[in-house]
Amino acid sequence: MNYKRKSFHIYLCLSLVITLGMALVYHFASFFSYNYSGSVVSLSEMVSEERSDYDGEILSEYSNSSYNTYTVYEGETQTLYCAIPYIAEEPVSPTLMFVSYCVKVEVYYEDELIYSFGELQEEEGGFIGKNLNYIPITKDMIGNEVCIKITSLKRRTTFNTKTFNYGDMNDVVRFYIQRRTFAILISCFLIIFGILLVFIQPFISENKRLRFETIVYSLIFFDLGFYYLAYNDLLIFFIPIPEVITYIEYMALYIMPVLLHFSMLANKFISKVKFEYVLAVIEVLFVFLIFILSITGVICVYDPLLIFHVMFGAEGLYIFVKFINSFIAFYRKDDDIVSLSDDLPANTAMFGIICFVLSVFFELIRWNINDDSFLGGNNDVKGPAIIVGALILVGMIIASYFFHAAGNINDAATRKKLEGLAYTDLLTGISNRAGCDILMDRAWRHNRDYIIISIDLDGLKKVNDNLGHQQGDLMISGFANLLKEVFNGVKLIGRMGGDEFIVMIYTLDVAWIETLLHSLEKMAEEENEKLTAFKYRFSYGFASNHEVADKNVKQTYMLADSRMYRMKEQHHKEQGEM
Amino acid sequence: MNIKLKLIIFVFLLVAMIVGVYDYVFYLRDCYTYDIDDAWEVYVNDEYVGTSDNDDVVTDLNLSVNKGSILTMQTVLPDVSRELYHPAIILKSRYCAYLVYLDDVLIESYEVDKYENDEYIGDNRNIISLPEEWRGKTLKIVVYPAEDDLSSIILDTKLGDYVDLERDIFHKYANVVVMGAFLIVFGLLFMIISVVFVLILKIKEMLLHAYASILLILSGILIHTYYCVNFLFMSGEYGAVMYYICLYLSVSVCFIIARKSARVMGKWYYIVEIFCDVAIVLFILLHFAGVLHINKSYNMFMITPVLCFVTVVCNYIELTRSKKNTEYIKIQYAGLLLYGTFMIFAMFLLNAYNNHLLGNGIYVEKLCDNILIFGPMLYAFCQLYNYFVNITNSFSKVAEYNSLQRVAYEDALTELPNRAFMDKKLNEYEKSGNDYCIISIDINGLKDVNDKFGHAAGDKLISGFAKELKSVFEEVGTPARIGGDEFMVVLEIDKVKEIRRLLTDLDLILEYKNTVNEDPWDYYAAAGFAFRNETESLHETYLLADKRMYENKRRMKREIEESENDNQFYFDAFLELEDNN
Repeated sequence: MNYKRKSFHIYLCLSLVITLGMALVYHFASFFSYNYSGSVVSLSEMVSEERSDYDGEILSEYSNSSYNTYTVYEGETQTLYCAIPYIAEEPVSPTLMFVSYCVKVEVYYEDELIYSFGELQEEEGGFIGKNLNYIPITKDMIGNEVCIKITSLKRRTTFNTKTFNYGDMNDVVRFYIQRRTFAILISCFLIIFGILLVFIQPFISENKRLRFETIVYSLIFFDLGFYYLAYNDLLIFFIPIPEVITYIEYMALYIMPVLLHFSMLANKFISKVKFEYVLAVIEVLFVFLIFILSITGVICVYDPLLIFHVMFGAEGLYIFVKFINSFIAFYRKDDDIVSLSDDLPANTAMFGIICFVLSVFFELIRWNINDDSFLGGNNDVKGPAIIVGALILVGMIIASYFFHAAGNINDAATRKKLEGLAYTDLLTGISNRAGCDILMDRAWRHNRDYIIISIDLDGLKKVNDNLGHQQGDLMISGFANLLKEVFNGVKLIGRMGGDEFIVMIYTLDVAWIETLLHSLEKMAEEENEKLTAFKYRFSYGFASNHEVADKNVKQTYMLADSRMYRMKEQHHKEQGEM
Repeated sequence: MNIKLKLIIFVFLLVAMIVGVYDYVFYLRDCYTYDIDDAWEVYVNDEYVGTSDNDDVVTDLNLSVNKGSILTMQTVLPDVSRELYHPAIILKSRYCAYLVYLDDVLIESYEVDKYENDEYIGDNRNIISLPEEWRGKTLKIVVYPAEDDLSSIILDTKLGDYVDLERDIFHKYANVVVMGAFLIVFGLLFMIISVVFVLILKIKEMLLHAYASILLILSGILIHTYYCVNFLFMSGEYGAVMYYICLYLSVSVCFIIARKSARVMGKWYYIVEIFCDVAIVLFILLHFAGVLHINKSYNMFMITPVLCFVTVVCNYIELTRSKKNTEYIKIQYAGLLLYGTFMIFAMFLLNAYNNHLLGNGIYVEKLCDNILIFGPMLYAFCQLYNYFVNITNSFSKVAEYNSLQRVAYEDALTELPNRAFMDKKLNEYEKSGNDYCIISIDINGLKDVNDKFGHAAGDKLISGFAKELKSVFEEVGTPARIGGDEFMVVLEIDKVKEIRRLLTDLDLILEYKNTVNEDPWDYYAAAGFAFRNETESLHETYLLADKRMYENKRRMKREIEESENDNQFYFDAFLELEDNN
C-alpha cells in the first residue's frame, strides 16, 4: 500500500470534513437554544460618551455615538451614557450585562453609585481581572440614562459594546452562554483529551522521543482548551475568580508559542540547528520570568502582550515556513530515502501544526482588522477558526499515531518474518536464490573450506510442457525432498532457479561427497520405480574452493556447474543413442 | 499486571484527580445559596393536605399525584440577611407544568401550553428571577402534573443571587459538563476519523470504532441530560426526551458493537437482539405517536439492557475460553462490559437515591452526582487504548499479509508476477469463460550470456528485459516470469487488436536498448501468441503459443545468421576494397 499517497488523501479528507462539519455545527448550534428575540436587547448605541484623564479633565466628547469598540488609555476614564430601553417583554429582574477587560467599572444612576467592580483590587495594587458585570436595574431607571465609567489603571485596553446586553437576568445570562455553546463543548474536549493523552502514555510506546512528542501535544491541547475557554469569557463560570482566570488566559497564551517550538523540536522529520534548542530554553525562561514577575506584582500579567505579539508573530512565521518546507520536502523525496515508519507520522503531525498555525494567523488578521461579520454566524464565539485548526491538529495527531505504529510494526516485526520468507523457496522449503547467495558469501567471508555440488534436474521442461505445471511442481518438490533426506544437516541446500539445485558442504572430503551422490542416485531410482508420470533424472558436478583461483565462491560454483553440464551432455548423448 | 485492571485504575485516578483538583483548588468563595425547605403548605385541588419541611412534598407527605389534579405549594421566602442584587430561585421540575406566583403576582409560567395541549413534558431545571421587592413575600407554585403516579415533582428549590445560583450549578456539575462535552466532541471527531480511515485505507476494524463513537456521543448527551445541565447552554426543553432516546439507543448500539466485534454464539443471539431492537424502536415510536410517554416505558425498557448485558457476558466468557481472538477484540469486549456494568450499577444506584433509600450524606450525593461519568469515560479510554495499541497491530497484520502475498506471487529478480500468480490468474480467466490471449516470450541467448559472462550477467539480462516487458505490457495485460528465460503475458480479448503493435513496440524498445547500453550482449526475445478459443484446453493454448514462439525463434536465428553472413560479406568486400587500394 502506498502510504505516502494515501496519507495525503487522509489529510485532505480529514481537514475538509472537520472544517465543513464545524461550519455546519457552528451555524446551526443556535437551533437548540431558546428564542430570545425581544427579551434581550444589545445596547451598542450610546447616547453620549466622553473621555477624561486621571484628573477628571475632559479630553473629548461625543454624542449619539455608535462605535462598537472603545479604547481606554492608561489612567484615562471612558464614560458612557446609555439609555435603558423599554422592551417588549417586561423583565422581572432587569439587568445590564457586559464584559470588562482588566478595567475598573463604576455605574452611576443620577449620581448615585449602583455598581462597582475593581475598587478592592485598585487598593491592593491595581491588578484587575476580566469580569462579567451584571448591573441590577431598578424599575425607575427604565427609560432613563445610566452612566458607566470605565477606568484603565495600568494599560491601554479595548472593550466592545457589542457585549452590552439588557434584559431579564435569566434571559441575559442564558443568551450569553448559549451563544457560546460551541466554545464550551470544544474547549472541554481539548482539556480532557490533553489529560487523557498524558494518561495513556504508559500504554503506548517505549520510544522516548515519541513520548516527548505526545506530551508536547497533550500540553498544547490542554493549554489551548483553557485559553479558549478564558478567551471566550466562559472560564469565569467554572472558576469564579476574575484574577485567576485572567492569569490563566494570559499564561496560556504566552506558553503557546513555546509549546509550538517544542513541537517542532520533537518532530523527527524536521532538521534542527543548535540555535533552536537554545531559543527553546530562552523562551521557557522568558515565560517563567513573566510568571514570577506577575505573581510578585512587579508587572501585570498583560503587560508583555506587545512583546508576546512580536514573539508569536516571529515564532509562528518561523515554524510555519520550516514546517511547510519539510512538508514539501517529504513529498518530493523518493520513497527509499523517506522512512515511512518515522517520517510519515512526523509529516502528519506537521500538517496538523501547519493547519493550526494558519488558523491562528487567520484569527489574528481578523482580530486586527476588527471584522466580525465574516464567519460570524449566529454565534458570539471568538476565534472559531482556531477551533477548526485545533481539531484538525487533534485528528492529525491521532492519524500520526496510526502511521507510526503501522510503520513501526511493519518495519520491525514483519521484517524478521519476511527475511525468513524472502530467502526461502516457497515451493520446496529450501533456500532460494537469494538465500544461496547469502550463505555462499558467508562461507567465503569466513574462509571456510567447502565443496559445492551443482545439480540439475533433467527433463523438467518436458514434464511441464506435456503434463502441466502441477506435475512439474511435484517433480521439483519431490526432488528437493530427496536432497533434504540425503544431505541432511549440511550447510546449504538450495534451489538456484527452475531446475537448478545447489548443495554446499563444509568439507574437502571428495570420497564422502561421492558416497552421498551415489546414495542420492540410489534413492532416486527407488523412487522412480514407484513413479509413473515422470522419472527423476539428474546431472551433477562438484568442485571445492581449492580448485579455483583465490578460492572464489562464484568461480567454484561455475566450475561445479560446468562439470554438471558435461555430465548433462553425456546424458543427452546416451538418451539420443537409446 | 492485567491491562484491564490497569485501565480501570487509571480512569479512576483520572476522574478522581480532575474532580479533586477542581473541587478543592477552586472552591466556591462568596457564594451563598439558601434551600427553601421551610413550611411548605400543600394543597391538592385546593384542599389542604399538610405542611412539609422538604420541597419534595410528594415524597414527604406521601401524596399520590395524578394527571389532572392541581397541586399548590406555598411558603414564605426565607429571610436572608445579605443583599441580593439579582434575587432568583432555582428549581428542578419533573414531568409537570407550573406557575410561579410571588404574592399572587405571576412571575413565571412553565410549559402550560404544552400541558393544555396534552403534550409530553420532561425534566428540566429552571432559574426564575424574582422582582426587586421580594422580601417577606409568599412564594406559591401551582403545579400541573403531566403524568400519573409521579414520585416527585419539584426538587432542589433554592433561593439566592442569580450569579451564585448559576455558579453553584456550574461548580456542582462541572465534571458532568466537562466530561459530557468531551464525550460528545470526542465521539464526533473519532467517528469522522474512523470513517475516513475505513474509506481510504480500507481498514475494516475502524468501522467498529465508528459504532463505538456513536455510543460515546449518546453517552455524552445522556450524561448532560440526566443531570439537567444541558439547560446551561442549550434549551432544556428537549432534555428528558433526549435522555430517554439516548439511553434506549445506546442499548441497540451496544448490541451492534457486541455482534460486530466477535463471533456470536448462535441464533438465539440474533433473536434477543432483534427482540430488543424492536422493543426500543417501538417505545420511541409510541412516544412520538403520543400513545405511551417515554418515561412510562422505562420500566419495560429496563429488561433490554439486562438482556444485552447477559449476552455480552456470555460472549465474553466464550471469548476468553477460545484463544483465537485478538487482544483488540478482548479489550473492545472488556470495555463494553465495563461500560454496561457501570451503567447498570449507576441506574440502580440513582434509582435508589431518587427514592431516598440512600439518605442524603455528602459522599452519597457526590457519588451520585458523578457516577454516570465513569462508565462512558472508561469506555472512551478503552477505545483510545484500543486505537493506539491494537488497531495498528491488526492493521499491520493486513500489511504483513500483503507482503507475504507479494513474496509468494512475485518473482524476486524481476518483481514481475511469478508462475504461481499466473496459474491463479489463468484459472480466474478460465472461470470467467471469456476469450483471452496468451503470449509466450523467450529471451534469446540467455544460456550463452550465462556461460560467457557468468550468472550475474544472466540475471542482468533477465531483469533488463523484464523492465522493458513491464513497460510495454503492464497497462494492457499481465506480464509474468514463469521460468528461467521464459516470460508470459496474458491479455484480455479487447486488447487483442493491439498485440502486433505491442510486440513491435517491444522489439523497437529492445533495439533501442541495444544501441544505447554498454552491455556486451544484446537483448533479443522471441514471442508467439495464441487465443484460448483456438484450442480445447488452457494447457494446449499455452503449448500452441510456445510452439509459435519457437518457430519465431528459429526464424530469428536464421535471420541473424543471414545478416551476420551479410555483414561478413560486406566486411569481406570492404577488405577487398582496402586491398585494392
